[in-house]
Amino acid sequence: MFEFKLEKQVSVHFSIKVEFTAKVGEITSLIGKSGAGKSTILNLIAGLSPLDQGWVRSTEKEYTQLPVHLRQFGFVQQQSHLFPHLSVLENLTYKGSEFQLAEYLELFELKPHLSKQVQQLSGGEAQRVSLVRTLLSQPKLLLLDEAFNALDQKLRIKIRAILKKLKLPIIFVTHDLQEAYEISDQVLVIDQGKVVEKGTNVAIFHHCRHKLTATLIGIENIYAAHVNNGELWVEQLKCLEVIPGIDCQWVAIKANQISLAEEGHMARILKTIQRLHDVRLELDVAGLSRPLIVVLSWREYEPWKNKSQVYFKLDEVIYLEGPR
Amino acid sequence: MTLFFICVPFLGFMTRGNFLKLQNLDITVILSSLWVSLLSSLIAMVVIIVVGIPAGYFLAKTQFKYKSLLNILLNLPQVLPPAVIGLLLLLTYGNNGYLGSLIARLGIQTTFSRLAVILTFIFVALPIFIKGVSVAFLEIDPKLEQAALLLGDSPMQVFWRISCPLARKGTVVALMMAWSRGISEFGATMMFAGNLPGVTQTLPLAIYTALESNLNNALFLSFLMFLVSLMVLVGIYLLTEGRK
Repeated sequence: MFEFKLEKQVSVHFSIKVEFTAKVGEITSLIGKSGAGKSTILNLIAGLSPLDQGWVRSTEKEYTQLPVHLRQFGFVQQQSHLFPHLSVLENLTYKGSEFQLAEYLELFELKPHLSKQVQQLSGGEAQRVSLVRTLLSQPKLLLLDEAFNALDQKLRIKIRAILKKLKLPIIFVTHDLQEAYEISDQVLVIDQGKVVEKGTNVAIFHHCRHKLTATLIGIENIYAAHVNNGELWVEQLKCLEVIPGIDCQWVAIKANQISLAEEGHMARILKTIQRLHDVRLELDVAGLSRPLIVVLSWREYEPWKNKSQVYFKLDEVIYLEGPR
Repeated sequence: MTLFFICVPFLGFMTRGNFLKLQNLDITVILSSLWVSLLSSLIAMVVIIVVGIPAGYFLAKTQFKYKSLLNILLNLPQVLPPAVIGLLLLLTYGNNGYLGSLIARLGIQTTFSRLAVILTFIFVALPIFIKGVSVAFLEIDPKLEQAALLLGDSPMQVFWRISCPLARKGTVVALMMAWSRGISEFGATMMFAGNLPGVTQTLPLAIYTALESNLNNALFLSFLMFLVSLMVLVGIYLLTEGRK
């Protein structure tokens, strides 16, 4: 198991302060907005940037003071950084043994490209070569920074499956939430260099606790909320359905967790967008400062398609913390 | 108009149709000046490579306080008049110079010797080489060197396996440019090394001397230098533009 405590004053207004662990065979995803500090965290772990305080260590070894080349951490970035003066095969065997080469060539569909110069590779092929080159160097820890961006969906799915089988701790930075959900054992939500929320993929994506996480995972309906005499108020709207057990500053309502009904809260349909698989409605609700977004399947939408005024019920509300 | 100013002087070779008449050439002067130039340039280039590559790498990869000042200093030999360079070298390495007096104690004569030709060559050509090498190293994506470190290469291995091969083309270009600058040096060599046939008389000096005694020699040597310069330029073109 690896333990990280990373502290670094990057600039006057930006610092990194995170602490987490990564177990062998587990994938930890770092998600967050651009500029949140995710890539800086990977650089600190790899030793590309020195720590002000903290440590990088495993149960067997202390890495904090070790120079980059002695750490044996694999690091694959968005750009493949293949050596342009070497062939694909020379890049692959640059540091690694040829043991497992044949297996990886097969898995990553690289056999036909072996004799090529790296300039002849497409972005996706170069990224696969970069990943295999790193895997062949037998890393003790694998850092992936947007490493699959140039790959098509079919290959991404295949590579996720391969990564899941590796007996390595993997730290994975991605903007692809679907990917983060599917691949991760642990998810860290990063904002301004700090961990705002940490949990399993299910906890983060289905039961998040922080407003920033809710925004990040794409929940559009986030409103200020408070509890008064046991009743939940979403802005100025008294919530009929849900009695919260906890006090909260915010609530998030997933767009697909709202149903239209014959009774409930009244709303006026402001906008309807008919999409390939579903229908997106924007509802004007008395007491809410912004339109409430509702996503219905085509079947759910059918009875209401000619209405301009509807009633709705909230099927699920997520209670959130976060600064007002 | 531009072509006129640049190309017309080259027609000078054709106005004298007899410059390749070998029976009129003083072959001893030609061979000895060629020998002096080639041997001196060879020794100087070895020194320039040994000193220049680490210096160029250091200049490219290190940030230090007076880096801009050093860059300006490196350009100085290119803009200084040859007479000033000759004078500076004399004041430094001459028998009464602050270094020359020390070297003289070891029994080594600097002025008017082959060593003076070599020192002059190094003085004018080394800065060009260092600048060229520095640019060659600067043009390497630092992420490639970082990738090699991450794969487990030590900094020295990264230098030999990644930085040097990637800077090779730029280094060869710098070498050619430095050599052409050094081989064509005239004024400073004349002041510091003199014009002794077989000892310090380089090709440009032999051309100058031949102007007064044997114009055929001057023309032949000039044409030789013209061809060599042309080859260097074609080489540089092939290494840079030609492969794009």
